[in-house]
Amino acid sequence: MKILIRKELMQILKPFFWNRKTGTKRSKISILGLLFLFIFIMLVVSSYFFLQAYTFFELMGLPNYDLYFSSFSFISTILSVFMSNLLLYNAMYVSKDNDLLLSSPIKPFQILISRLFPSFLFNFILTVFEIVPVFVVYLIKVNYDFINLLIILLKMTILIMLLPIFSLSISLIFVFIIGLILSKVRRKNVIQIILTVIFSVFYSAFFNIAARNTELVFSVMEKLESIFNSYLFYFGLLGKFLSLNTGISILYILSDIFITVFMLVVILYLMHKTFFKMMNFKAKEKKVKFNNNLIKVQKVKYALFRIENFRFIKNAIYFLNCGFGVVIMLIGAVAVCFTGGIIKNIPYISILTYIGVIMMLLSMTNISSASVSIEGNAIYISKTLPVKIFSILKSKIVVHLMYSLIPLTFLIISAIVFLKISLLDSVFLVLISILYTFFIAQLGLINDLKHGFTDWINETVAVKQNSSVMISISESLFPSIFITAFSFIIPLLTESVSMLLLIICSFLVVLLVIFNLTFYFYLKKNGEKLYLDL
Amino acid sequence: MLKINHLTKKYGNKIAVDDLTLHINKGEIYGFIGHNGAGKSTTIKACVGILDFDYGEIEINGFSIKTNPIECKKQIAYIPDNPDVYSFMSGIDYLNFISDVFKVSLEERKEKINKYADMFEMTYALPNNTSTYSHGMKQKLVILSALVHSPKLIIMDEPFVGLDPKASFLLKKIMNEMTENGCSFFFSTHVLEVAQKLCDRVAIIKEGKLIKSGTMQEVTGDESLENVFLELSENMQV
Repeated sequence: MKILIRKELMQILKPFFWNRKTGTKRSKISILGLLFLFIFIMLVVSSYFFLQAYTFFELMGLPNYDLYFSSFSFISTILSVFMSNLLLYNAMYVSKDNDLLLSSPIKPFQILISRLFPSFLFNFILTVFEIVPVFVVYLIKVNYDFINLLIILLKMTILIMLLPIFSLSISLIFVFIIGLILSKVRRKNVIQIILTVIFSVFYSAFFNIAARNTELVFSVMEKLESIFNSYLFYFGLLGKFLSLNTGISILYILSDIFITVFMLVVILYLMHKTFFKMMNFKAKEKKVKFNNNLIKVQKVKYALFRIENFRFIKNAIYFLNCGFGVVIMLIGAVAVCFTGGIIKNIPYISILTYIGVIMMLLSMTNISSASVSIEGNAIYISKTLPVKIFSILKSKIVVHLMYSLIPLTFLIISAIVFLKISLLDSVFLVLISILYTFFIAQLGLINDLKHGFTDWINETVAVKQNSSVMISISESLFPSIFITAFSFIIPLLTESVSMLLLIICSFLVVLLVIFNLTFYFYLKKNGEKLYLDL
Repeated sequence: MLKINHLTKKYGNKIAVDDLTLHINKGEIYGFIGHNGAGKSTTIKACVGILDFDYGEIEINGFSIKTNPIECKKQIAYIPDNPDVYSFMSGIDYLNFISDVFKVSLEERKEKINKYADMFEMTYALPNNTSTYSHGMKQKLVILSALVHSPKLIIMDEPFVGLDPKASFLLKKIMNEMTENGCSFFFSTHVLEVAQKLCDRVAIIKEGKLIKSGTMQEVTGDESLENVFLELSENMQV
């Protein structure tokens, strides 16, 4: 068991300490750099939760701490479940070393438990960065003495220990259902994507609509409270435990601990009993008879594009992890239609703020940053084809651009119309957004060529544990956060705000053009060698 | 057809291929034999343009793989030891993709796909996703994709691994037929009996160095290829 868990941990942690491409140990600076990037990304998640928690508190009106903690425990659980679901499914049933381990003298139950480890670790880290800001907001808003502070911190610790295990149990239930009951469904990946999109829409809609309609918020909150006291009583009990300081609250947490452990034991038992069956189950293929109509001719460029496009859309892990920004931008486009009036009245907001936010949303789409690694061992196919490697790289960029620029178009139109942006500002918005899309696409590809690897054990590793993806997200998020934050300081720096904004936007355009040209020529000169070296 | 001149490839301090020179003629079946880690796959990957090399030259029909890789790749097909194909496509989609890249006309690809898919009994499987294929089926698909664009040189790394006996027989038959039309084959194998029956010429490599090459008669004489290989590579008296 120790050996298996060590193997799983090595799989997750090795990219941080070893350069997979050269097979050499990373330098200390490199390791610290990657760690910093990882923490930076997690802090972005934290700040998002902080804002949500703060908004929730403002919307609550009268303090209802039970509801506050129940809601955020629920949201944290759901996010953890959706983000680790596919990771868990692939780790359990689709890993390349399943045959090796099952043919070894190792109990299948031990393999099962060891496979849970990466998901549990991921859930735990995510929970820490989600829950701590919720408690920080709570501590900002309420009065407490030193003893109460210690109690609150203790409760926070208990919650952080408990939620990842509960999330894991829920994830396992999903995995079990997907694997067993839905195994007859061919397009499981599509269902995963649809469910995630629906969740995201409802989640975003609540906070967007709530900003306009407080009556609606109160009625929704009343309903939520009744749901947490009935169907989702697990979270209702958590809320009561976390907000009360009396000894009675121990009963609530003991109940939740019992539920968590009971669920985990039951689901593990069921999965243990069906492990072999689930691993070897093959979904029924739709019977299609071969005929000559299936033989088609396409131009080379389109054939290359089609491969890259299919590689992206037919892989739920790749899509959800690297293409989630597509969904967020579309949601953003709709959200702006309803909240435009509120947004443009925020103090100190300017075109630079809009640009910064759009850049942030664009950073969530990093398709190109895993586009080479995801090829896996089949990379030899592209290398042996009579096409220029640069053409293959271009087709990867085109896929990234297509899935970024289409939702971006909707978002920009929505922003221009509902935020009533002037003509000049609109020109800058369009130019900088498009240039930044190209920037992210090329930067991501360069990162994957330099840091990527193709010898992964399951696709999740190529996407989630790929330092190229992490570096790309950080490199594109950081400037966007800086620009957004800086935009609020501009009125404090000068009275000639318009002039300064014009200069900054012009400078951004020029800078992005230079970066894009540099990246383009770098890819043209070095892309082939980097690709062939993989 | 294929000229490998003084090929040298190093991985750090280890010399994987050391000053290897081989020439494969048009219409020839050339076997490449050696123990595990001898440098066979390194040589093959260098020939198909997957691997860069340190010294030497590889030419395919007069074009250098280093300076003119596209022209070289237009004339060759590569069948790897591990038949990894795109798991998100059906077999027919994969064949269409390869045919598109090699610019095979619709009529030609229809003729070739139907012919070889029937031969290898893969017709029924072509509309299915390759993720549902067994190892042998993937191997057959890769062979089909190599044959569909009528290459002048087919380079194979242990092509008979994973093939059922009938498919192995068919592959050998196709190899003999295609050589009559001027196609050359360069392949590595551990199945020495097949190499002895099939190959016109053979090269034996040990620790990156060529230790013997020539026609089957020149290399083996009256002995079996297995005995010759064991004697040469392990200095064993059999």
